[in-house]
Amino acid sequence: MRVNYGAVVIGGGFYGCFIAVHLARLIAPVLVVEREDALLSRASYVNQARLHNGYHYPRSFRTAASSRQNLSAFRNIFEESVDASFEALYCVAREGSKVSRAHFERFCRTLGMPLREAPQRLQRLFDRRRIDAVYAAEEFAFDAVRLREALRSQLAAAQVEVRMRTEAREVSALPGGGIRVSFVDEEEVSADWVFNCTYSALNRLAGLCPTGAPRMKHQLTEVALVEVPDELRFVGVTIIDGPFFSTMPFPARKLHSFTHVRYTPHFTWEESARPELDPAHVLRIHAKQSNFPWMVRDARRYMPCARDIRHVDSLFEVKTLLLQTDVDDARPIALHRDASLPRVVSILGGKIDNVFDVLQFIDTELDLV
Amino acid sequence: MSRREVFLSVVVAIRDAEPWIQKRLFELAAVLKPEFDYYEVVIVDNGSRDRTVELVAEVQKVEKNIQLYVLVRARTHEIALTAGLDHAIGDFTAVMDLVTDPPDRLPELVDRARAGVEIVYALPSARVRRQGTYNRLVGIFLSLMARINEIDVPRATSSYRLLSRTVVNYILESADRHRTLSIAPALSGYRYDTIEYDLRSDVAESGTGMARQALYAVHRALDLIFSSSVRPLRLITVFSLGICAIAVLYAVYVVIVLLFKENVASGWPSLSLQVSGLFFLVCIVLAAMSEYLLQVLETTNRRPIYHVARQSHSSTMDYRQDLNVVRPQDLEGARGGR
Repeated sequence: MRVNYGAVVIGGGFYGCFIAVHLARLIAPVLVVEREDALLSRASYVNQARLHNGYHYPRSFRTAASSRQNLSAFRNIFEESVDASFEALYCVAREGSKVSRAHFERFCRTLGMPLREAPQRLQRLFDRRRIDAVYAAEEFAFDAVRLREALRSQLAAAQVEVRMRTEAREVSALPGGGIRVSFVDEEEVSADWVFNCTYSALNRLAGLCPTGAPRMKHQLTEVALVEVPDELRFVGVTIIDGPFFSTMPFPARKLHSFTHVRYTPHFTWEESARPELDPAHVLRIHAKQSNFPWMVRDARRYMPCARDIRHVDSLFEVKTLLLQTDVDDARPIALHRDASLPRVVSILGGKIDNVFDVLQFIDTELDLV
Repeated sequence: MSRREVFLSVVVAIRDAEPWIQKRLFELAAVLKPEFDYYEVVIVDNGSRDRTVELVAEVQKVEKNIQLYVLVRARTHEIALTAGLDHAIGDFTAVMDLVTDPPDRLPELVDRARAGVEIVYALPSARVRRQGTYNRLVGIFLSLMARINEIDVPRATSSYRLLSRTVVNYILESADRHRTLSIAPALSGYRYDTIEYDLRSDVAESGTGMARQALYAVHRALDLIFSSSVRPLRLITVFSLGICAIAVLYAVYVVIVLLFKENVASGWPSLSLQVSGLFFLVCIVLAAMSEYLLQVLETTNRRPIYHVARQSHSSTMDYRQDLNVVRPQDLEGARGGR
């Protein structure tokens, strides 16, 4: 046993890094361990890069409202990483949609979200037999590479120690109240607090008590990266709310992301039903045949110019959801203190800009100092 | 573009298919997988009351690209197929009946279409040769349909056909597409080709009696005539106007008799004039109404003809080929231990 840390954060994704910076002000020294070669290289990188501003959740007012509050805080801190250079279009489909035009308009009005009819040149992109309404919304994307740089300098400034290619294996109680964290490479450290921010691997850390642990569902997902025709270059398109597609700028690669509610998830399983499936292992062995041909053929029924979209690359990642959120599409953050080791806190991040709710939880609910 | 790169959608509608659905779906997938890189099977469950939906869900766990739409309640077979066409995304869409149509002809259908036609009909040989009373009647009916709609229809019809995206889009534009579905490709006017096939020999005779089947055939024939064409309505107009003319002539005849003949029974002229007058009125009203109805039909209100209750898609665990060789680290991961 070598150093005694105030806190060890397992997982160097966006949540882990951001929480570590916050913790460093309260209970230094803080250590972040990351299994991969770079910070923010897994789920924090492989997603739509959408900064939610509420529009996405017409069936969960609460998530929508908190998205809006958090977005402005996020923009203040990570201004450099925010891409606001495109027009975000939200479309309501005529058939198969869970929201109607009237519902969506009322939802936006109630929460004070700016919403206007899209300009004619953008309306013309869509087949109006299938699309009922096209709105211009206020929404942004983030650049995951810049975000990584920003967090790296914040971590350095806060004097947080970061260990790459280090995988935590087990947590256990030490006499006197501390917690021992053992790594796969047989090294150990001790800490007063452990924050488990490993997203899809949340329940796979040995030594955790299964009682009350968040029940999760995993999805092996594909984000296609595409080159779009000129008319879509500075446009993001989202059709809500049902089995539809979405495409928007992916600043980290100077491309567009392209996703489809039906074809982006390749394989879904509940953790409790298939405990033998380790998400990281599934990601490794899954034959990564792209579903892009399916996505784009469905998309061009709604937006004819989709036929000129060119597939460049696909990113695969395991997306993890809390089981309860299947119904209303909400994305609350799961915060769980282990039943036997109450100073081990598991945090399942939802959307990237909802991180501020966690900080509040840490400040008010945990007696850190 | 080679055939492998063609995206094929296969649309099937099923109801109470518990005994055979899994076998037929695996068979279909076994045909599609080696021949096409991109395909989907769109299944519309038309209000099954047995375990069909659960059985399809089981197949979805092991076979890719199978999509299921469950209609809230049973509608006609044509409406269910229309729902499937609405959701198909392929460059070409094949419609087939899993019970009677052999899936191994699908690649041939696609090849024919790629040779430059928009529609390929697969026709059962027995129907093409018009063997049996039923097939002969169908043949006569088809020529009649071709005449009144002034279209080019194949010698027979069947449930098995391939449509290009253009034709599917054409069909989906009309609000009453479910009624005309069987001749809709012909109504579109696009070029077609045909192949012949034998209905599957292992088809069990369906339980419904001859009389019921005949009634259903008549019902569908009438539906087809009245939905594909407004000519019957025009016929009513002409007919009504004819009756009007006869009523007028009859009235003139009654007046002439009254004027020039003696010993006319009292009451006959007034009664006869009443009758002819009433007939005239009724028929004039009928004629006017059928003309207006004709116009109304041309601007029919569009209302949804079905409603999808829920839909689901394949969720398959897709292993790499080399996984048959078990490596120690794989075993470790699968056990979930560290």
